[in-house]
Amino acid sequence: MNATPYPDIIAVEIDSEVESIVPEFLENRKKDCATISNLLERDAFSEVRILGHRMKGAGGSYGFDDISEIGEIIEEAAMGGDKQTIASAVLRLSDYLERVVVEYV
Amino acid sequence: MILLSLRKKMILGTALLVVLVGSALGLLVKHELHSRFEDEILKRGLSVARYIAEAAEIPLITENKTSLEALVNDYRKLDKDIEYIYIVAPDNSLAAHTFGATVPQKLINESIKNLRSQGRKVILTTASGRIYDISTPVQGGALGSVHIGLYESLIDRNVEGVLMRMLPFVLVILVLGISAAILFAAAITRPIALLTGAVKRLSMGELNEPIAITSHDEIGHLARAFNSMTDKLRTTTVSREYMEKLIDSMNDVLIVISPEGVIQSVNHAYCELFGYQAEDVVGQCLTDFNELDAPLCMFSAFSHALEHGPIHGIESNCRTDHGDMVPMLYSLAVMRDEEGQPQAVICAAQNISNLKKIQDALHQKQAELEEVNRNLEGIVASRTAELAIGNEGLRAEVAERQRKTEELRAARDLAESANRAKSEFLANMSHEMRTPLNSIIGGTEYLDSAPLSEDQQRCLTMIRHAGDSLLVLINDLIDLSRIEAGQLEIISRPFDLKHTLEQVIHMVGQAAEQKNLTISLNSHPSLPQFVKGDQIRLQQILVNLIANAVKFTQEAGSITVTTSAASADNDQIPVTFVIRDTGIGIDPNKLDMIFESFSQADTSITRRFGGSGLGLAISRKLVEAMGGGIQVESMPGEGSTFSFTIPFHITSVVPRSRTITPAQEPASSVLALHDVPAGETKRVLLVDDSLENRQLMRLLLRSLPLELDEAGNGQEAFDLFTQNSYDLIFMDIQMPVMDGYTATRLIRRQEENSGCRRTTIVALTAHAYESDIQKCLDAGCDDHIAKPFKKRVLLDCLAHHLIPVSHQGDAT
Repeated sequence: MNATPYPDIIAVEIDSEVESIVPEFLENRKKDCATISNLLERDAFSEVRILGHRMKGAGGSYGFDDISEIGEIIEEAAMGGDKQTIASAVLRLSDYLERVVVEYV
Repeated sequence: MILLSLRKKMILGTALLVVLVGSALGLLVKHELHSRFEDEILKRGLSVARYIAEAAEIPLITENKTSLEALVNDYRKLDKDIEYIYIVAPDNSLAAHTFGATVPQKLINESIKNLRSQGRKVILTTASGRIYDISTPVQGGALGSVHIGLYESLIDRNVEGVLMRMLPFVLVILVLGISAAILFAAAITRPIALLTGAVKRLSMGELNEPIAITSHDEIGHLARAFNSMTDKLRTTTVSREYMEKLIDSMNDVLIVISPEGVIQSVNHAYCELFGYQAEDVVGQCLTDFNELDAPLCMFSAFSHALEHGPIHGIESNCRTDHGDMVPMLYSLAVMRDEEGQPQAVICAAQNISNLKKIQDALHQKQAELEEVNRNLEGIVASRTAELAIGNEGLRAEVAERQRKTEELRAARDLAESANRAKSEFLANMSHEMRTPLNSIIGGTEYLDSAPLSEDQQRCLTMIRHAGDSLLVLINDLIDLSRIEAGQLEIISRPFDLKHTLEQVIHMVGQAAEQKNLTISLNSHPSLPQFVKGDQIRLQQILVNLIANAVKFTQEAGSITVTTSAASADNDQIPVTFVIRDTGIGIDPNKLDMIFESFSQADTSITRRFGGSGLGLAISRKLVEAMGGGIQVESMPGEGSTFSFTIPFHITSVVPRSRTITPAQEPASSVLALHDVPAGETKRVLLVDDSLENRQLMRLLLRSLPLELDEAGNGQEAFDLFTQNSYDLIFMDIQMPVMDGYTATRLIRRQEENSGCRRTTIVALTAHAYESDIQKCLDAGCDDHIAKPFKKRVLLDCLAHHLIPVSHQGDAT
C-alpha cells in the first residue's frame, strides 16, 4: 500500500482535506532547515528548541510522522546543547523534504 | 616570806583591806560621835544651868539658901546623868550644891580658875574620870554663877551604845566583803590556773588543746594571745618527741656529732645496721673508733664539711660491729647557730648494698644486651633481605590484582553499557517499528472502506489483526524499556474505580464474546466508588490480566473478576482484584517464572497464543511501583487465579471528568457529531501559537457543525473567552506571551468569579509524559491530547465532551 519500488522516494499519504495547506507546511520546513542552521551558528539553542517542539507537534498531525520525530530529536538535542545531533537532524529533515512525495487520499 | 597562793593572798589582802577600812571608819565614826555627843552634853548642861540660874535668881537675892539647896537637889534627882550642880556666889562662895558632906573645893577652885581662861566649859580631871564643868552666870554674874558637872564617860557610854548597835551591820559587811574577795580571787585565779595548765601542756609539747576562755577582759586577751601563739607554734614547731620519733623512723642512718667530734646522737637505723647500742656510741669521740668502723669511716670528710660546708654523695665501705663491710652512700650537713658558728655536723647515710647488687646485675645485662644486639644486627640484615624478596612478590601480586580489578571493572562497564545499549536498542527499535506499523494499520483501515472480494477482505482482516498484535507487542516493549530505565511515572489522582472496572470489562468484552466466554464482574459492597491512584496503570494491568485470561481460556469457559476492599488504614485503602479463569492453567514448576521478563511458561504458548510474554512482567512491575503485590495460583487444566492488591488513597474529591477516552471507542463519534440537532452548533476555540496547526485543525473540523475561533497565545485566548461563550477550548501549552497553563488558570478563576458554567478545556501539547498530563489537569484542563494527534483522536475527544450521553448511546 505505502510501499514503493523507489527507495529514493518517501511516499506519504495525507488526508485530502488538508491538501490546501500541505505545500506551505513543507515549504516552511525547508525554511526551518536554513533558520536552524543560522541559529546554530550563534548557539541560540532556546530558539532551536522551540522550532523543534513545534515541528514535533505539527508534523504527525499533518501526517508527516517523520517530521515529528525529527522535531523531537531537535528539541531534545537543543535542551542538551548538542549541536552535532541538531545539525545531523537538520540534514535528515532536508533529505526527507527532498524525497517526500505526498499522495492525497 | 610566807608562801601563800595568789588566791589566799587576794582573800587575805581583801579581808585586811576591809578590816582596815572598817577600823578607820569606826574610829572616824567614834570620833565624830564623840564630838557630837560632847556638843550635845554641853548644850544639855548649858540648858540645865540656864534653867537653874533663872530659877535661882530670887532665892539668891533673898539669900534663901534652903530654896537654893532644894532647887539643885531636886534637879539633880531628875537627871541622873548630872554628876553635880552647884551655885557660886559673887564672892566665889558656894551658895548651894549637891556634893553632900564632902565638898570638892579643889575641883571648884580649879573650875572657877579655868572659867576665866576657858569660858563656860571647863574640863576637869578627877580621880574618877574627866568631868565637863558647864557654867552660866546668874544676872550677868551679879548674883553669881550656876555650875553643872557631867562626866565625860557619859559621852563614851553613848558612843559605845551607838557603836554596839552598828556592830552587826559592820560584821555583815565584813563577811560580805570577804566573800566578795573570795569570789573575786576565784574569778581571777581560775583563768590563771587554766593558763598555767596550758603552759604546762605547752612545755610538754602538747599544742593541740586551746584554752577555753571567752571573756573580754585582760585575761581573755591573754588567753587568746596564748591560743594564737600555740597555733603559730603548732605550724612552725615540732616537739622533741616528734623529732625523735621522726629520726628513729627513718630508714636512713642519721648521726649527729659536735664540732669537737663527740657523737651526740644516733638513730635506730644506725644501731640496727651496725649492731651498736646507742649508749655505746653516744658521748664517744670519733677518734675512739677504728678507721674502718662505722662512725669514723663516714667521717673522713668531717673536717672538710666543718670548714667548707655540706658534702653530698660520698661512697664508703663501713665495718659493722660483727666485722661485715657495708657499702654506704652518705652526705654531711653543718648545723650553725644564729652567729654562724657550727653547732653540729649531721650525717645522713644509706645502705646501698642492694643498689650495688642491682648495678652489678645491670652491668651484666648490658653486656649481654650488647652481645644480643650484635647478633640481632645480623638477623635483621638477613630478615630485611628476605622481606625485600617477599615485598617484590607482594608488589607483583598487587599489580596482578589491580590488573584483574581493572579487567572486572571493564567487564562490568561493558555489561552495563551492553544493558544500556539493549534498553536503548529496544526503545529505538520499538519506535522505529511503530512508524511503519502505523502505516500498515492505517492502510488496512483505508482499504476497509474499499470494495474488496471476500478473499481480499479476509486477507485484510488478517493483516489488521497481525498489525494490532504487533502494536501491542511494541507498546509492551516500550513500556518495559521505560520501566527498566527507571522512567516509569505513577500519577496519582482521583478516579472512578467502579467505572474503570466496567470500562475494562467492556474493552475485552468483544474478544470474550468471540470465544463465547462469559465475563462476570463481582464488586464487593465495600469497594469505594472513588479512590486516588494511577487509573491508566490500573487499567493497563487489568486489561493485561483479563486479556490473558481470555486468551488462555477455551471456548465456553468463564472469567470472573472479583474486587474487594480491606478496611482503610491511615488514609490508605487496599483494594484486591482477583481474576479467575477456567483456562488451560499453568504447570506448578513454571509458576515462579511467569512474571519474569521475556518468559512464558511454555515457549510453545507464544507460538500458539501469540503475545510478547511481557504482559505479566509489566503488570508485576506496575503493581509493585504502586506499592502492591501480585500472586498467581494455578493447576494445569483447572484454570488460573491471578490476584493483586494495590493500596489506593482515600479521596473525597469526585473526578471532574471521565478523562481518557478509550482508543477503541467506535469511530462513529463523527456521525454523532453530525447528528447534533440543528441550532445546537457548538462553539470551539482553537488556541495554538502555530498558524499551521490552527489551519490544520480548522480543515480537519471543517465538515462538522462547529463555530471555530482562533487565538495565537494564552492572552488572546483569555481575551476571547471573556468576550464569548465557548463549549470547548483546545489549549496549546507552550506558547509565547502567555502559556496554556496560565491561560487555563485565568479562565477557571474567571468562571469562579462570574459563576458562569464550566467550559471544557482540552490540553493539546507535544509534552506527552504522564507528569505533563497531570500538570495540565492540575491547571484546570479536563482532558489531554498529545501532539502529534490523529484526526480520529480529535473527533473522539470532541464527541466525548460535546455530545450529551443520550446521543452517544444512540450513536453506538
